[in-house]
Amino acid sequence: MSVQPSSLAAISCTIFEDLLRDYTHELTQKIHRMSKLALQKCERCNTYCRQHCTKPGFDIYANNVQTPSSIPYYQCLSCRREIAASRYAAHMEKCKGRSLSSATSYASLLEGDSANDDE
Amino acid sequence: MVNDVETCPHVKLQSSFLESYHKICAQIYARNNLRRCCRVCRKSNKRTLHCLECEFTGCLWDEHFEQHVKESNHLFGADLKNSHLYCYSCKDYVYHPRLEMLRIKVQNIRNWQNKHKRLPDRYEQTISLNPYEKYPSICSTAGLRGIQNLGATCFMSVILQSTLHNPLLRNLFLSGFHTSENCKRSSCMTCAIDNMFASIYASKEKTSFYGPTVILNLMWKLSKSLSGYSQQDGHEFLVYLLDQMHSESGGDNSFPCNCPIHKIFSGSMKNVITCCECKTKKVATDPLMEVSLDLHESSIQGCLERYISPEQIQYTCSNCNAKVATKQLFFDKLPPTLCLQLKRFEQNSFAMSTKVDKLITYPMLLKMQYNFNQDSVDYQLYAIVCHKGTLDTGHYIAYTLFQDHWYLLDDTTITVVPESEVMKTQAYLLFYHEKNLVYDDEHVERK
Repeated sequence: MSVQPSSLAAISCTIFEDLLRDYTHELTQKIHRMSKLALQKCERCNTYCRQHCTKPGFDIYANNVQTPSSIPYYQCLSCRREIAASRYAAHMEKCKGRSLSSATSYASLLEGDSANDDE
Repeated sequence: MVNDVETCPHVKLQSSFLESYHKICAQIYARNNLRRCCRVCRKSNKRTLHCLECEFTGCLWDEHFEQHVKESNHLFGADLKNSHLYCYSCKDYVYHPRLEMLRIKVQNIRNWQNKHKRLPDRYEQTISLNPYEKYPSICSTAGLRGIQNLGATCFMSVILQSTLHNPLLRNLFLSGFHTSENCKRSSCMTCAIDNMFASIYASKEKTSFYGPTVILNLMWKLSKSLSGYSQQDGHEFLVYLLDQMHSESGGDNSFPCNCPIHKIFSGSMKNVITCCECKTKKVATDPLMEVSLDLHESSIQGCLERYISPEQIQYTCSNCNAKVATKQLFFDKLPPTLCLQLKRFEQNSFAMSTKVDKLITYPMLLKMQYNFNQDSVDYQLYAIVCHKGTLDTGHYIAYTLFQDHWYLLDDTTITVVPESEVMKTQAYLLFYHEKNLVYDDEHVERK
């Protein structure tokens, strides 16, 4: 239990101490909140998404950096063949019958274009 | 990952609890004379907490609240200074996602109320947490995903990323302003962009990234100059994309145009030509979609100053027939989003392009003067597009500000970078956004 200060100096010290403590509290509360939220599991994606992975060779979600062997395939909108992403643009140029003109709406363009989904 | 921590398991989200918390938060953010003193010792500087289940207020530091907890079994106190919740079972401040959502909503509404002196329309709807009970909460990484390179398409990816993180464009698309269900147009670029927003912002999987095959196809079909397999200029793609979306959202050739794209990106400049002899002024208003800067100075501010400084030109005055005049540009109306292009790609006399690699410094906060330099407005940097390497074998990367952190977006790889690195890049395009967006009061507009 603290003793009641009697001198003016002692009272000033107590007031100052309280003020300082209060400001420090406000400051650390911000960091406390950020850190605590980072340590809690996200309700939506069930991972610790407020934490970033900072290991070299990985991105923030701890995914491996894409290598030639892990390149995805996308379906060509004209010939419906599965093409590796890095060669997609080159293929599109050579693929005859870039038949976008025959599509009647954006929705029909997406029919059979399931490779475009990312889940 | 460090040791994990459970969200406080003692919080029970009953409506009485939420109402009580809401009431306390509203009192705190109203900044009225809120009595913050402890019931027991009458002091207000020992971090007073307000009980969530009764009207008791007590100190955190001098343990008066703890006594109340022992006597009443009420576990929670809200800090009367910053409205954070303290749990006496966990013996710590706790941050429950839904309560945080409520706290921030109350804070924002109160700020709005203090400025406009009335409650916002549909206040009850805004404050309610019911919609969120139906849908799961948003992941803090929503919107931050990579974009697949389809073979020299990184010039397109970086512009798409800058679009994804433009606050106004993002809000526009996520609010459903143009969806493919409502659009009957075939080959619609805006539909493709909307689909991209939906895909990326709804994605839960951290391993997912977006493959812009449809956007690439449409671009080749709709733009002669951008079609063909080769690396193109990122800025050229941006100009094309904005123009395409402008046409597809009902924009016309009038100036100023009222389409959403122009409302976000378009401003105007005043071009003032003053005759050197008779001082007659001729003022023209020119449209402004981006500012293309020569690289004669070492800082953006310097380049901008040069841009609006007077220069002598050959001009025949219609009044006195003198052949010399000064021309000066002034920023007249500045758009919410300002794009600065650093002219790094020069065409010399042989129509060959070279790249200028000079390092130009740029600020995080940019103050722009407008209205004949009488007014100024603050802009905040939110995205950077960089080009690395030579003209033909180069690669584009983007930096973007997302939830108060800066990230490097290199095709499908996203890494977090310190601000010091962000301020020293060899930027090609700089995207600034007005720091404070002021919306007209809807009640004023109705008359």
